[in-house]
Amino acid sequence: MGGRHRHFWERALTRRTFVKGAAGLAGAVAASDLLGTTAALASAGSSAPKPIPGGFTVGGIQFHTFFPGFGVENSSITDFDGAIGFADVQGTGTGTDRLTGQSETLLFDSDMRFMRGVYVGQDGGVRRGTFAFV
Amino acid sequence: MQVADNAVTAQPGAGRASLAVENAAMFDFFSIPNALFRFVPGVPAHASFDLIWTGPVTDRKSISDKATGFEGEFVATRATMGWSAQTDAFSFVSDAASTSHSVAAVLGTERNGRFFRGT
Repeated sequence: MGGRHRHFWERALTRRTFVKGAAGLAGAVAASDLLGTTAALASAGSSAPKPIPGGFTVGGIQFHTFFPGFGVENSSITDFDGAIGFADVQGTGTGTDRLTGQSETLLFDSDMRFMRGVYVGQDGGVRRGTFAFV
Repeated sequence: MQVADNAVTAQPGAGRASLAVENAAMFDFFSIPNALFRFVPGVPAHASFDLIWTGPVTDRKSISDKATGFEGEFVATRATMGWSAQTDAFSFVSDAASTSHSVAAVLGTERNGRFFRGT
């Protein structure tokens, strides 16, 4: 796939220590939007956007997003016309156990996106909105 | 998640944009596999992000992908991010955004689904 960036999810799913460690929170919240958006679809009368019809499949479950990159579909919502952004940023920071006060330097790797523009909601209404995929 | 319109600024053609979210409510699922498959429930969390697409533009593409049903004009650029997050048991604060490393960053204007023209 020309221009497809090998997403950190693909690396992380085969590197258990990485998944267990620092990027857990970033990776966890990054993926949470996928099921949340899908769950929001249950309400036909909702103004929420609709997820893209395609996506990647893991363990027999389809997630309505593609691994991001330059030249691939980076939006997680469909029936959309607007500005879109994607960024995979790595870095370091300090994680702190709030119960013990113990802290350590951790790594993070992120998949962050935004979609801002006109979209057709689940209720068929055409609206303007701004959405973040974090 | 939906955010305020002014959480995002975008000049896609120039390779510059920003996404600023403060104290957004979400869930910590502890690991990527658990976030995908929900073996155990997540816990409430709040996170703040300051993500800046800085430029410069390093590549440009016009795409019309009939198979996936999206089209648009896109640029490859660079980005930095500072962020923090917190649950009842754990907190994380990134180092300064200037120390972060941009692996890949893209900006663009896109049409998909009903707005896809296929030209």
